[in-house]
Amino acid sequence: MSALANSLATQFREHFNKLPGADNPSIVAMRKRAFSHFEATPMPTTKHEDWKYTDIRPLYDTTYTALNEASESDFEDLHLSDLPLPTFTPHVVVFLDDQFCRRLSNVGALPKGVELTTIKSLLQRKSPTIIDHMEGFDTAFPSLNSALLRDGIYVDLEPGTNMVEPIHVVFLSPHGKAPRLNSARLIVNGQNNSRCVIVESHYNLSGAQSMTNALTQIYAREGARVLHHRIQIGETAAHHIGNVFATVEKDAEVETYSFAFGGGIARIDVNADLIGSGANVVLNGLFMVNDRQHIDHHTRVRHRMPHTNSTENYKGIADGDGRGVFNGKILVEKNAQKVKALQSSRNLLLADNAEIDTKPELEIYADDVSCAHGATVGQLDEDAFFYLRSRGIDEQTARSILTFAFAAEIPGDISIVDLRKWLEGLIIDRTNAIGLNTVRHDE
Amino acid sequence: MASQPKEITEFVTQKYEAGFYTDIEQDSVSPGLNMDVIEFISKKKGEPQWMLDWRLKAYTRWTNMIEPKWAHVKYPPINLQAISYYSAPKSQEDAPKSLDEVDPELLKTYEKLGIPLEEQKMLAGVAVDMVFDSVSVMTTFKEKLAEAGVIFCSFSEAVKNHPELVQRYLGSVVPVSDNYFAALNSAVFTDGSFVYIPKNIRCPMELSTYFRINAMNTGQFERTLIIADSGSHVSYLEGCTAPMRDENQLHAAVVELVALDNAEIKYSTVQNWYPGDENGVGGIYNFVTKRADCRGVNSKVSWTQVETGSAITWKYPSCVLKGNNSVGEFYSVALARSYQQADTGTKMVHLGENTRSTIISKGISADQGQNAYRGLVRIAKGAKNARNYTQCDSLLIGDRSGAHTFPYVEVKNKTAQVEHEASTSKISDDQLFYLRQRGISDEDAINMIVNGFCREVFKELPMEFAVEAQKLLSISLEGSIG
Repeated sequence: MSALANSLATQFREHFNKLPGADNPSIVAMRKRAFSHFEATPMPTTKHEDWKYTDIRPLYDTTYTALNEASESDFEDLHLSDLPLPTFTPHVVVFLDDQFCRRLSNVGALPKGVELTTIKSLLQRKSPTIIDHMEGFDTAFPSLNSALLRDGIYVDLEPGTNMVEPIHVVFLSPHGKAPRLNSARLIVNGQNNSRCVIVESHYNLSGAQSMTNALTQIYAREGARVLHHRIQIGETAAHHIGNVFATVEKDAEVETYSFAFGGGIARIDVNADLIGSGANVVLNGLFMVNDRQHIDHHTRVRHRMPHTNSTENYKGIADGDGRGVFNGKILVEKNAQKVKALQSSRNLLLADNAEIDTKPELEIYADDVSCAHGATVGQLDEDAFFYLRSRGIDEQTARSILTFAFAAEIPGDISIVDLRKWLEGLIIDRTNAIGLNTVRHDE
Repeated sequence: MASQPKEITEFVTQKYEAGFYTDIEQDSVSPGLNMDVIEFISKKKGEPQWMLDWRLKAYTRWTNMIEPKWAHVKYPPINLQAISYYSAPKSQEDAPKSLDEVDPELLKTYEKLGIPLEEQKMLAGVAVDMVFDSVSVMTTFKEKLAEAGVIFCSFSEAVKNHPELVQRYLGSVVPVSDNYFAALNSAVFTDGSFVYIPKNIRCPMELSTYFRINAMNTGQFERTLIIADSGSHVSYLEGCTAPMRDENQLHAAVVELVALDNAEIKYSTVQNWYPGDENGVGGIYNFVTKRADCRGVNSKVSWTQVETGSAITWKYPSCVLKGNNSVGEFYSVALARSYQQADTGTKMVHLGENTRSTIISKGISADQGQNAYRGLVRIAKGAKNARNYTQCDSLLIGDRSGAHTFPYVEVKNKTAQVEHEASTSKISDDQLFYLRQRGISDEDAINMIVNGFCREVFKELPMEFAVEAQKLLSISLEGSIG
């Protein structure tokens, strides 16, 4: 057994009867089942098709501390204003190591019909409905999340609710001494014809070794619309496993963005299930890698019903010794006619030691469909570069302008201006961080 | 051909016996695979020790390998111990005596393809009179080839007559332990073709297994090795445009191409093995390893394939672009109908500088057919200015068919430019309506659209092949339209 599984097994045995919901036998049983599923699932190797380009051994070889009580006092000097957090919304929920942090959070006044509940309190309730969201995963990490879960947030929107202001959920993994494993969970339940905007961000605050195992579940019931933005920022020592499951019902829409900026190994799986006709999903993503970072996005769109649409647009930039991986799968099931699915994966490869691996897949079992995908790997356009140089712009700046222009398409569609500007700022910071100069332009 | 001189007839007959059918009296070996069987095969073929050692090495490697499961195809497990690894070519006695004994369905197909009667007999395995057009044609061709210095013979002949070439190149493109089926082939292959084009020679004609009649009977495990020496050029056609009924279940061939400096190889395949009946019973499992090594600078290899047969096709004609400025091309039409499954595509491995590759793949799925494109484009670290363009389109006919695309793009060099695009759709109602309102029948309209869909690939085929491929496609699609 791997070091990770070994150490987690010990910690799980020690702590499972102290975790939230320990007085409820069905939750304890669920945790045990989930943990044995994690243990029983062999560590993925590069021989597994889904992990072909990501060697996850460094993660399994580390002994992580999970489940021990983090004391608030460790973070007393931490203030919301110190964090590089944007101010586009008054609704901010902060988690520090898997614990809800009341001091840093600012839930604000929520409109009627919107309810934010911590998962901890849902687990502690006598008859929790939360248990339905805990099982039935194919892979190891979501099960591990359920087994070790201590807290998270459950966003519930009553039918017809329109929540215009974004809800920002922040997961922080701060400076720990020993390598730490955090489990983050976000559940969004958009009931019929409701609307909401969610921003989910994951920060690693220091260069300390850590691992985040995040799980996001989005339900867009009939006619609902959920806009979801996922931002992950990490240092090379921070590993990140993210799983997003979106279930889209009849005439509902989920638009989900994944921005991944760094991380030792970051692996993000975005799964969308279109289970009602008229369902629509938009998957957009951007990753930027540098140093020895490795970011791997796997998306899976499953068209289960006729008249469902999906649009996917992923971009990647690899610099330094970074490696970027994209694997996108579109599956059209039998009888899911009149499906339209588009997928694009475009990548910039900027350094000698960088690498891009992309694999856009189509698996189609219905005939009356229109599906297309495209993938490119290339460099900055020489003509555009020459044009900028001929205007007297120095090489570095020209390169960063073009890199930014390439990346900016992804946040470009975001309608919340402050959120978009914040993301563009992050992109510019990144282009600075990868050794490219760029002037921050304040519009 | 009564007018043919007796000498020629005799010569041809002799040649045939000596060169190709020497083992005709031999019995088959009992089913099963072990060292003894391999030694038996090698002995029967009168092979030198080095060839036997090579086979045994492959066998040892193979015993440590497991059957790959990653392909997007489903089939019951193959019992490799139930296959006889050496069966002498069908003797003339077992063959049908005349066309009357041949499956009339098969004959109908030949007729539609416009195949001359004599050729029909040959294809159906009828014991043919040796005096007939293609044979004499073959002899003249042989002379012409010999003049140019081109070696074109069966693999066993090459082992005997050109051991230095075989030893030097055999397994240098597809190593014995490359994959499960290639290792199996290396251990038990029975025959195949060998081609060597000397320096600066442009092969005076298109070479084809068609001219080597018994190549059809080499059976399950054939081995082809083509070497194009510096500055040479060859176009090689493989397969047969008419359906061959073959009771063999597993066909695991290996094809190796070597292109040295400035050499060019064009390899065209029209594959139409028995696809099984309308209920998906029977048919060939076509598990083939084809790879070209563009070793020299400015070398070029072009694969063109039209795959309409076989119950299961599992093949990826690939190019390893080692030489600077070398070029790899892959043009493919794959049809899967009734219960056929195809998992086919290519691998372009760019190692040299300024290497270029083009992939055009057209997949057609009809009825319950499942068609998958699986391709790899790998740009290695040292491959400066490499360029790839990939296009793979799928056409779906019928709501139970499936089309799948699994392209792998791996880029390790920042000067590379790689593009991949794929689309999947059914025949557009507008196109169909347009043709129908011009008075064209449904079936003809679909044929026309399908042929248009495949045009980019067909234009890469030698002319006669292109014509037959078109016909073949329309025959294969017959009845698949509501």
